[in-house]
Amino acid sequence: MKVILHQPERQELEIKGGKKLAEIAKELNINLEAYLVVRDNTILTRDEFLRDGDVIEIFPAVSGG
Amino acid sequence: MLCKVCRNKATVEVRQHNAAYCNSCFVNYFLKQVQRNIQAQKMFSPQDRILVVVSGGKDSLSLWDALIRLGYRVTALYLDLGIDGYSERSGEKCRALAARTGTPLHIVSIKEEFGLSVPELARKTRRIPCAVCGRIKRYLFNKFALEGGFDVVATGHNLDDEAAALLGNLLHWQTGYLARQEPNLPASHPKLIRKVKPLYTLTERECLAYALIQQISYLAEDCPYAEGATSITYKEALNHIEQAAPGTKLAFFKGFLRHKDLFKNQEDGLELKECSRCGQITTGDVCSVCRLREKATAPPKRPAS
Repeated sequence: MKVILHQPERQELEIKGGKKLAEIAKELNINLEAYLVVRDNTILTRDEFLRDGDVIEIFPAVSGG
Repeated sequence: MLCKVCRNKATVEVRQHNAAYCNSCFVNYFLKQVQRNIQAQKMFSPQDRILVVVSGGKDSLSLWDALIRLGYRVTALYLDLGIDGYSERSGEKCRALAARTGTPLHIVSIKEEFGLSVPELARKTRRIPCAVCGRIKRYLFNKFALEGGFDVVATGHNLDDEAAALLGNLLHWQTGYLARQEPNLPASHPKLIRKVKPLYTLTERECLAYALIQQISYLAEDCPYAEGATSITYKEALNHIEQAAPGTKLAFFKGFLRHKDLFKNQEDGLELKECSRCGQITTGDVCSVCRLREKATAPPKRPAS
């Protein structure tokens, strides 16, 4: 599956699907308290199951200054 | 996961309340929280004229959108800091929401007001840009609100901002700042406008969810001068705790508000007077912004011959 990270610069990476978002977040070392994950313009909850063909986008919530 | 309200499929999980919502129920929840905060802290009423200070980021734009939807009399103010590229992109996001909502937006350029941009002022006075920026922003939005007859200034500070500021103030025992940190900061002088933070119980993540669901186009990039800011480190630390113990940030900040009296006698109690140059409020003879402007525009000193 494809992961598009907005950090805010766009980065793309390919990872294996077939697991829940909570597991993928752990794998990517992403704290879901500080990010939102979107698939097909829909925000996902941590129990969402993601497949190999999925494309997800990860948006950071933390801003500073 | 199902929506707590309608039992349809949930999209946004709000772990601090042990809840999850679908898009439309989340928007209702967000607006109710904003309205509850406004009423609980007696921030303003529907008759008041509110100046919302916007930056082009998700928080202030979400606040602006929410206040319009709640039926308040809102005018937005964008302060153009003159930061190359970043300020143009931020201003564009504010103009887009103004056009979409049909609400008034005023733009004040710091370069036009002071003859120098924030980075130039910082360079010429050898100060940190963030310190110069904060001081100038507070000065300008108070001046604009006062001259425009606004009752209150609203900013997009959210729970993460407040919890991070609280953590920083506690770590350094800044008791004067602790005494003054609150979501409804009263006007301590007739020429100072009251400042309120209607998003103070909503996390940054919830503000982001609101912006994404409402399709508000916001500027995702941080100010180039914010890199390495300690506030980001504090937010990350708090989110680390929040992950293990949901609700900690909210309990931390609400607990502080309940115990605020502990810091009451730490307020400095300095006499407030009008600046002899510009008439804005200060504790000295000349306000810090006028001193900054004079320092930045003074001719360079010639070496003694």
